[in-house]
Amino acid sequence: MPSPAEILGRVVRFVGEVLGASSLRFEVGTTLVVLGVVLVLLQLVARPVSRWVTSDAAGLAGVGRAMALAAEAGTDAVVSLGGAGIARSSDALGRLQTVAALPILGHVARAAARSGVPLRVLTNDPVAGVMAASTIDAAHATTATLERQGRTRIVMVGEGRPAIAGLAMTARARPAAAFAFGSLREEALLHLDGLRSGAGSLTTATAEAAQASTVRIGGGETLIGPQLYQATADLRSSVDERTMVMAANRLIGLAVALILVGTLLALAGIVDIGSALTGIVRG
Amino acid sequence: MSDRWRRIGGPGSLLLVLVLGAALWIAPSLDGLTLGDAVTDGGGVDEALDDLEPSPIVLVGFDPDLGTYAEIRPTVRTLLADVLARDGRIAVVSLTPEGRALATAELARLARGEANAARLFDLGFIPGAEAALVDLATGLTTSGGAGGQALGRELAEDGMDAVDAIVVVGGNDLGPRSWVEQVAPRVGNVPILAVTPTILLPEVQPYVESGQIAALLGTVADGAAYRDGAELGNLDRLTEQTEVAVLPILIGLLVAAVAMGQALGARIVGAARSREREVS
Amino acid sequence: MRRPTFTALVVVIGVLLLADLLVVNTALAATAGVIVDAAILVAAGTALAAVASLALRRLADLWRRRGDPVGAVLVLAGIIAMLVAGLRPGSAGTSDPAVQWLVGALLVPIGASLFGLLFISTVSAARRSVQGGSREAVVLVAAATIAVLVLLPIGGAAAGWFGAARDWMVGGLIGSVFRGLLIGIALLAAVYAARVMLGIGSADE
Repeated sequence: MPSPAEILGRVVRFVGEVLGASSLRFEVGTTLVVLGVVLVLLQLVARPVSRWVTSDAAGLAGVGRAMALAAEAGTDAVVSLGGAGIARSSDALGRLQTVAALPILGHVARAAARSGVPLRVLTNDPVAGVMAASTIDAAHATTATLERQGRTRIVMVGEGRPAIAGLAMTARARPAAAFAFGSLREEALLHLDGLRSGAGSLTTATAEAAQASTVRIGGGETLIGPQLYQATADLRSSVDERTMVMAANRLIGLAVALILVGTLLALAGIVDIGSALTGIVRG
Repeated sequence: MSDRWRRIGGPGSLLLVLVLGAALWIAPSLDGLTLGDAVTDGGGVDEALDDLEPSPIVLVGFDPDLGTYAEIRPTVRTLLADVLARDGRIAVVSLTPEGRALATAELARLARGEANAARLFDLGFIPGAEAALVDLATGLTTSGGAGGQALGRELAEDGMDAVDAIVVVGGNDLGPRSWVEQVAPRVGNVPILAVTPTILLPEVQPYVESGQIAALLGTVADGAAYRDGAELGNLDRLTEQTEVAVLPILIGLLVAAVAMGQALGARIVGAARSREREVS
Repeated sequence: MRRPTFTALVVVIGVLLLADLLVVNTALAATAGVIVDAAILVAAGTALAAVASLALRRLADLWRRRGDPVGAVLVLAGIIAMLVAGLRPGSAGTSDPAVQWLVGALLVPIGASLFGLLFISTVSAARRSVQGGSREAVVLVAAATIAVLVLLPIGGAAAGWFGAARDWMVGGLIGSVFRGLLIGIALLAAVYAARVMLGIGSADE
């Protein structure tokens, strides 16, 4: 029977062997950047900060009023979850936008549930549809309006971004309010034109950089770029949402400082931080 | 604007665009118009291909979008022909359904053009987005593919170690950025070249600046300059047989500039008049 | 209330895949490979489920005479046509000429035409936003007009000047703005993804 010291020694040797058989895939700098994101987030989650200044750039806090008007008019509201879906062959940044759109859908769903306005949720991915249905069910449970649950529909439009844009363009519906949250790419303007043409108001939120100007000229209230991820922090007083945004703000500050310092160092010919981070020596 | 003009404005504009487009498509190009210009260097693709080993194996990630493929199609066909003209071998894989549909169409076109079938391998479609990319980078398999036997055997034995370069045909959801994120860290110094529509330029340009993408044909001008300089010999038959008509592009740009300029002008005039009224 | 089992699963898988990204280790890679293979199977299954659910939904719409019957018939006809073309006995699958015809003669022109409408919708949206009156829209459309003029495919002596202006606009002016946007998006996305990966916060809503 080995002694505790021998067991400890074996464990240490095993860990040593595992570490010895491992190597970093990226440069040290890149690895620290990736881990730094996790560490900053965990640090703020462990010690949440309560001071917060609400911006509500797209006026989502006032969605209750739009729903009240929709209830008076007897119409519904449309929410599109964008074109990336959850389980589609789309890149992670696109799918993450769909995940980030769900809390905003929840906010709209709660306002709609209170006002008795049916929602039509458009998606081109069945898993996103299931998650949207779960979000709406939770909204009805929270607002004690389970009897109104059956009036909301999740519309699965088919595979592909053109499908959801085409449906938005050709639908004859006249919703009181239209919302588009999630990944909107080259089909963005077709999608938004279709939603806007029949709706009383349009609110768009997408983190696609290339479409930032497109959604601005598409009309209505807009959230572009990182605003999609931070929108929920303005709508709810959830500590997790706000620490997430604060962690990101700290990292943005660090990134700006790194760019400034790196630029000075590169101009002085001391070190090229870009090459150090990517491991690629640029000519 | 009066109601009458407003009613005929929409359909009238559409009709005008259609008639002009048809007329200009038939008319020959005018001298003095060019897509490529003196400043564009063809994206560095020539240099990147020149740096490859003789008879390179090029893995083509074929995931364009149905809507934007027309913009990059002439360039893609020239690039595929260029690789074959340099004695290269091509393995095609798709990660999106639309990309797969277009990839099979291009492979069928190469077969009809009597491209050397021994130099082509179709790796098929792999679902799973980034999971598919990781699977490709860590364990490339030819079990679901078809094509040249020797090429297939080499890919099956050596996996990604056999690949000398990666060409990403972008436009759809999974483009050069996903390949840089998931494949590049796992395969070492395999250069990534990209052909993308102009709409993706803001997202892909930073990767060119950092050197993570070795060469990029990201605009119509880049593509035109590359096509003009490509030396394909008799494989010219595999390229787009109809050259891109520049005149409709020029007219389209002018129509857009005039339409937006007119709206700006009307706004400025309107603002000036309302300020005059306030002052008076 | 979120079930702790799923949260634990997400955390374990997320941390494992992150570790595989950062560290090269054979055992770790093998374990991550199993997860990656499972993700591929799930994606394939989900794609099939999406087609099946769409077809069933449209069939139900036709049976119950609700919604758009023409659209439902077209969707079902398209699915059946593609399935027959690709799966009939003797078919070569995606390389079969019948599938190629459906793609080349129908899918590609429809997709390209849909995005061709972007020209009209973009120009009309730009005009509408200027007429709406915001200063931001005026600046945006003015910059777009200048960019369009710089993109004119004119050769000769003007080509060099236009090309230099275009490169400065893209690399200097537009590039600097987009770098800020891309850095902001990347960092927020990284933090949001880390939050999902570590199971922090509420699951729904």
